[in-house]
Amino acid sequence: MMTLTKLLRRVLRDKRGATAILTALMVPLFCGVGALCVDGAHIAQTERALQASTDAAALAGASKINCCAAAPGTATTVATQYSAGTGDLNALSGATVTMMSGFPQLKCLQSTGFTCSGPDSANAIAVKQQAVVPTIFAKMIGVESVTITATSTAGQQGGGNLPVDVMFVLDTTQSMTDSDTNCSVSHATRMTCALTGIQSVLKTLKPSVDYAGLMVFPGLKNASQAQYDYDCVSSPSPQIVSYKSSPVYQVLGLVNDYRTSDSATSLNPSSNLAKAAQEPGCSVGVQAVGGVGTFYADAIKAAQSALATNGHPGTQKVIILLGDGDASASSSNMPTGEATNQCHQAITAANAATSAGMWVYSIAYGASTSSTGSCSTDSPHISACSTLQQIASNSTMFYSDTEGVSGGCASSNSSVSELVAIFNSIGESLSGPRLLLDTTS
Amino acid sequence: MMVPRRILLTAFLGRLRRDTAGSPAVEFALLLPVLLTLAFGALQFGVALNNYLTLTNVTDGAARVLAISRASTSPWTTMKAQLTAVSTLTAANMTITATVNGTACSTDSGCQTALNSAQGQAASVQVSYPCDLNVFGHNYAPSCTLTAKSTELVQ
Repeated sequence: MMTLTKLLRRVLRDKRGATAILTALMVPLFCGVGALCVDGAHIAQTERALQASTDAAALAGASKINCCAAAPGTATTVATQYSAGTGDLNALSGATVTMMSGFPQLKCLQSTGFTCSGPDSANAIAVKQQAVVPTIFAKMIGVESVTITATSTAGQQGGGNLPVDVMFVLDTTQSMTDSDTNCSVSHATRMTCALTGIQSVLKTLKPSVDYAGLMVFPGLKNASQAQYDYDCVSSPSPQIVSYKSSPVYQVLGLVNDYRTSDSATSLNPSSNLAKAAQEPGCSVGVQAVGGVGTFYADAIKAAQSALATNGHPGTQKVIILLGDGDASASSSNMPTGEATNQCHQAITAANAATSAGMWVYSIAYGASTSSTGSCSTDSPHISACSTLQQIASNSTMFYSDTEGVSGGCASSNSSVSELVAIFNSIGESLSGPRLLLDTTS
Repeated sequence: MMVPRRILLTAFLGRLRRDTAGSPAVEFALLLPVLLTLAFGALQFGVALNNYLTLTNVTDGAARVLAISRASTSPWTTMKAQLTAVSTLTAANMTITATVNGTACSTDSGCQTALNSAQGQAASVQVSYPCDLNVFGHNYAPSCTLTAKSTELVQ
């Protein structure tokens, strides 16, 4: 007993190895600091990557909301594809990621100013993912893993507003004075129907950021003739010249006076563009003079050039072509070298605009589906209908007023059956999907 | 009286062996390299992980820029500008791989062409960055590379 007490006293007095003991005591502290430094940073990094993939998934899903009548729910499928789960496009290494139960979730938000009509009955999508991150140092202090979550909500296209510069390219040949029985405006000519459609687009755009202009073919004799297309009286008519005489295609350059403010519901009666589109206070809009046949490849080139030169930075440039598509002007009216393959020239011109990043929409008015009865200067044969289909940047940008008519020009936009609705739907598709606050209701 | 020199030395050594004063300082000096390696290792690791976090962040932004650049004539330049906007990473050390709908592109015109027909397809940006885990001349992870990748749907 005495010996043990002595031994303890000696141990207490003995300073040898003190630092080693101190160090041994500090090792857990070092591990704790390591846990904070390394594991903390690792978790922060995983959290950022998880949020990135969640945002990407929500945005990807949002662009497919109400996209596909045949496959409702495509939005959630696509959102999952872009998420961070195993095998998905943004798969995370070093963590186990799962989509939370009930997500991706289609939502119908009231505050984004967009209806929830359509196959998905939704206008937004929410994505919530969970990642279990295994720790490295914190294991030593008993923390095996950390669970983090990320949430993101995105509104579908139409919920936000991508500014646009729109150039309408309008067929003013005489065939546009034919009556159009497919139009929602009763007893309307194709021209009246087209102008009503242009009004609809002008009512959808936001004058604070969106600009619109108007071109016609056949072209005008000179720029001073343009005023007769928006003077609201039928006489005098604007003078036109043949396609070989350097016509002026542009009636109005890009303007934003078509409405007085974003919240105005009616067109501005003193805007020349609104007058050209025959706004209610104006009895005569753009006039269909005609007489030199149909040819519009040069008009498309003029529209692309005008948008490239006068367009506004940061906007989506859009060309909307309206007509029957049957380019077959007499060679006596045509510039040298452009008399043949008039429809193919138009496709080439439109594809050049698409390659330059512009969106080209085409709207067929009674376009013929006969490859021998239309586009008579083209070899190989092509129909006016397929010319207009190929002019559109993609199949969703092609519309036809004879969709549903037996033997009519077929468009994939089958749910849109009349032109005002066509233009409403163009107006909506002109804006892109965007991320929203998760608290948006 | 003269004490032999040898006896003096023996006595000194004997006293030195028994003397415990200052022994913690000696032990600390022995342990210092270990402690410093730990401390600076943690520091280097922290710097590398901070770079990783920054890299993940800018890569996400760059992929978003690429995915919304379909109307742009300079998607590559704009995307790269997003990557190099942070001052804590050296732009020259980044290895950037942009892929649009399965096709790699590394020029404005190349990415523009690829993007034009890729609406609704996937566009991804992958960035590799060297990580430095060199502590007192010894590199603990010579082949270490930080890589971040983000994929977005082309709008």
